[in-house]
Amino acid sequence: MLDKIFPNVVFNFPIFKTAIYQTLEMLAITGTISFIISVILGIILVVTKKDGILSNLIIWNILDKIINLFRSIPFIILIAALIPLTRIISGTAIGVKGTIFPLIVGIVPFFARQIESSLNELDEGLIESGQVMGLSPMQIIWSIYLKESISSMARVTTITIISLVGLTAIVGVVGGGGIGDFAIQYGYQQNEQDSTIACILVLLVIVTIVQIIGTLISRRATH
Amino acid sequence: MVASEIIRFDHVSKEFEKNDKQELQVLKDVNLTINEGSIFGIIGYSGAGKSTLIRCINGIEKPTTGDVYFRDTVINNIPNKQLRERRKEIGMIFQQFNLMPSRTVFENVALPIKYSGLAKDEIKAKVNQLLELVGLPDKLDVYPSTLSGGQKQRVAIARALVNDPQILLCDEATSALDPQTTADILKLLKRLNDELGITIVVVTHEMQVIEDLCEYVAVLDTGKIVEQGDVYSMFADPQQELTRKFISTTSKLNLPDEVLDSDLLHLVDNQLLIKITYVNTEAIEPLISHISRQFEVDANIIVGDIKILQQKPLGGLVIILDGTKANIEATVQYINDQNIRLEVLDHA
Repeated sequence: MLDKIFPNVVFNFPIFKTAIYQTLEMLAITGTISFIISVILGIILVVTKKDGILSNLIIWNILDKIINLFRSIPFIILIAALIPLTRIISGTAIGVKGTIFPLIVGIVPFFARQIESSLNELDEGLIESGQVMGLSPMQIIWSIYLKESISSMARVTTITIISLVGLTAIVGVVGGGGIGDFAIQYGYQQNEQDSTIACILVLLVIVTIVQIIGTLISRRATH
Repeated sequence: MVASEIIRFDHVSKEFEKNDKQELQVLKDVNLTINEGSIFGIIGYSGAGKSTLIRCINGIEKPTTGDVYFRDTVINNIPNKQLRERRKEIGMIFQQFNLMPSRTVFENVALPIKYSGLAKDEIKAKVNQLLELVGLPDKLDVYPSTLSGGQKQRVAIARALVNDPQILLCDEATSALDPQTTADILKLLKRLNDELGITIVVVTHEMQVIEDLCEYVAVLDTGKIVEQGDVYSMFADPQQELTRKFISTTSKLNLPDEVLDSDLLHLVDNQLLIKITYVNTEAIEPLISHISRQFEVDANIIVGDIKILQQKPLGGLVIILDGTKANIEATVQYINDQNIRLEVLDHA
C-alpha cells in the first residue's frame, strides 16, 4: 500500500533514510553547540547591560551590535558568505560537515536574543535578593538566572530548534544533505510530488516531537 | 549599658542620573546612627528615598558623597569581595518577598549558605531550626507559590537569618500583607529582636509599623531626614508637620473634617472644642474634675485615646469646654501651665 502512495520514496528509501538521519544529526550537533554558545552570550548580554550585575557597556554594545548585524543577513546569503570560513573550520563546505558551521552562525544570534529575553523576564527582585545574600556574580548566574529561567529557556529553545529545522532544510539547497536536500533533488528537480509530501510529514513529526519535549520540560520546571 | 553604634550615616547624599542628564537627588545629607540591638524605623512617603537609604546599609546602593559605616567598616568603600562577606552579616527582607519560585521552602532558606562549605546535615539542621523559629516547621518541601503572603514573608525571614546576621533590613516588609498578618509578622520581628538581639532596620510608609515595632524613628521627606528620635517622644511631641501627619494616621483623636465643617457638634456660644495630648496619665483624671470644680467649666469628652508606647502610656482627649468666656480662658491657661499640649480645634 505504501508503495502506491509513496512510490518514489519507497524506491529511494535508503537515500530517504540517510536524509532523515542527516537532518537529525545536524539538529543534534548544531542544537547542542548553539545552545551552549547562546546561553553564554545571553548571560553576557544580561549581566553586562546597564544596571546588570557585572555592568560593562562596552562589552554589551559590541555584542549587541554583532548580534544585530548577523541577524539582519538572510540565511541563504550567510551560507554563501561564510563558505571560505567554513572550509577553514570544517575542512569542507558541503555535506553535513559543511553545514554545521553556517547553521551555528545562522541560529546563534536569534537563539542568544531568545535566551537574553528569557533571562530578562526574571524578576529583578530575585537577582537583588541574591546580591543581598552575598552571592558572587557567578553564583547568581548559576543559582538564580539559570535555575529560575529553566522553564522559559525551555520554551525559547523549543522555538529556536523549530526554526533550526527550517534552516537545516535550507542548507539542502547548497548541497548540505538532509531532508531539505532530498526534497529538492527528488521532489523539486525530478518532480516527484510524493517525495516532497514525505519530507513534509517527516519534518512535521520532528517539529511535533520537539514541541512536546519542550512543553514537558517547561511544565515540569514550573512550580 | 551604653548602647554601641552598629550603623552610622555620615553626611550621606545620593544622586541618580536621569536620562536627560538632569540629576535627581534622592538623599540629602543624611546623618543617622543606629544602635546595636535596637529597632530603628525610617518612615516616609513613597519616593522619599527610603529604599535607597536602606540599600546603602548593605552596599546595594552607594552614596554619591558621604560614608556609611557598619561598625568600623566604610561599607561604600570596600572591594566587592569584602562587601559580599559583610552582606552575610546583614539580612534583608522585601515587600514582594523575593523567594525563588523554582525552589522549595527548604532550598530557599538554604540558598544563602549553599556555597558556604557547610556539610549537608549542618545545613539541614540550620534550616530546620530557622523554620521552627519562624513558625513554619512543616512546610519544608512545598513551593512558595502554595504559601500565603504571611507564610512567604516568614520563609524570607528564615532565609535572611540563615547566615546569623547582626542586622535585619526590612524594606516595606509588611506593606503587601493584610492587617492581621502584618501584626503577626511585626510580633515575630519583635521576638527575633528580643531573643537573638538582632538589630532591625525598618523602612515603611505606615506609622502603625513604627508604633508597634520601633524604638527609634527617622522621618524622611524627599531625601532629607526632617526629624529623628525615640518613638515615644516623637509621638508625644512631634516637631514637624510631616511627622504630625504620619502620627495622625494611627491616632483616634482626629475628628474628620466633615465633623468640624458640618456643625454636627452644635457648638454654641461659650463652648470651645479642644484637643489635649498628655504624656503623663496621672495628670489627666484629676485634670478633668479639677477644671470642672475650679473653673466651673463642663468638660464634655468627645473622644479619648490611649496607647502604650515603649511600655509608657500616651494619650489624649478631644473635649468641649462649656462655661463663661473668662472661665474658659482661665481653663486653657491652666492646662497650658500643666505642660499639657492643647490645641483649639473649633469654636462657635
